[in-house]
Amino acid sequence: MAEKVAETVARNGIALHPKYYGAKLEAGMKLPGDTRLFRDIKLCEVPQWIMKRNFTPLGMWFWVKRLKWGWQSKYLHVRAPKGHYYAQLAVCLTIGFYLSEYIDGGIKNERHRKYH
Amino acid sequence: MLSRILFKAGRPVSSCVRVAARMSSSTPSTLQVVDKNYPARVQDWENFKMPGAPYEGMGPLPPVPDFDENLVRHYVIPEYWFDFLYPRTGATGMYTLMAGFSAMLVSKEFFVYTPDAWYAATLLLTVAGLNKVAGKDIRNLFDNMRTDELKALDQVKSDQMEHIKQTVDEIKLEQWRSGSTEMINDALKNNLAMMLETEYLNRQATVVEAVKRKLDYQVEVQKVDSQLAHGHMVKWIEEKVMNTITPASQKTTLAACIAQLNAMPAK
Repeated sequence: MAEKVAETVARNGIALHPKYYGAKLEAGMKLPGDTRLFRDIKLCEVPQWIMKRNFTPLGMWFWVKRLKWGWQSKYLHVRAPKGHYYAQLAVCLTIGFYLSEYIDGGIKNERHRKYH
Repeated sequence: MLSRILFKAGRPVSSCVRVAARMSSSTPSTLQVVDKNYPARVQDWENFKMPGAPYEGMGPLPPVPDFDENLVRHYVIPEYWFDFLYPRTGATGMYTLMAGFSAMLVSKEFFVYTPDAWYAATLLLTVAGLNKVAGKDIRNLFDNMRTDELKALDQVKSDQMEHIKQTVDEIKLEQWRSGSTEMINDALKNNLAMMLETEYLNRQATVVEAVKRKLDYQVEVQKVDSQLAHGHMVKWIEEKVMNTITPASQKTTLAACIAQLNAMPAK
């Protein structure tokens, strides 16, 4: 299992193409202070990593943009794409819609039991 | 591009497999199928020089990466999550986690069982079943439609090339039949040499004539000058002489001439 992981990571483990990962998507973009992969950060360093994030509006806009480009370049902008992108999109939209209904909608009133 | 090499008439598949084998020795079989359907890719893109490039670094962008299906399990869960839990919980760790998590959600009724949930579940099962039964066939259908269009376009080009080649061959055959190419070339060469010689001589004659005209002009000018001078001198002398001749002097001169004539013996 570990060899398969290593092979897949070596071949295609990083979201953007290796030539463009960590590069600025636009000219005026500022990358956050810590650009390691989230999987490489230890749990004790997570608060430190969160503080280094760019919490300005423009920074969060670029954060969303990087997420979107990373996800799409891994599953959609490939040579022979299949349905994985749309399946993940459907799952994410389902979860998002259910969450919005739960937080601010009438789902809580449709519970079958009052006490759990 | 590679597609034109690969889809020449009569060589559809075997050359694609050869190209795929040349690409990398460890290409898995799924990617060989992909290479058959998406053949137009420059392999050595870092060293490829664009023909007629205006500047040096204008190379092709890196090619779009291949998609590896082993990254994702059941279309939605990344493989990395399974491998993250493998050291502690084994191969079924993620499944157990998901089962327990969904059990918690249902039992605490964070996830409420509604008719919508039933519809979503049936939709998911239907789509999964369809994919399992007919997914590959549908995909192959669309891929074949696409490659048929590419093949047709390449066929147009190769047909035109062959037509042109045939025309060239026909022309050459006709020339050979009349046997005239060599003779024509020789005649043209001789004609050309003769024409050059003639032109050269003509121009030489023109130059000579021009120079001669200029020199004749100078000669004529000198002649006219001398004539004018001579005439002027004669006139002047005559005038002077006429001025010195008076009737008295005429008489004396005439008497002297008569005396001389009388004096000469009859010879």
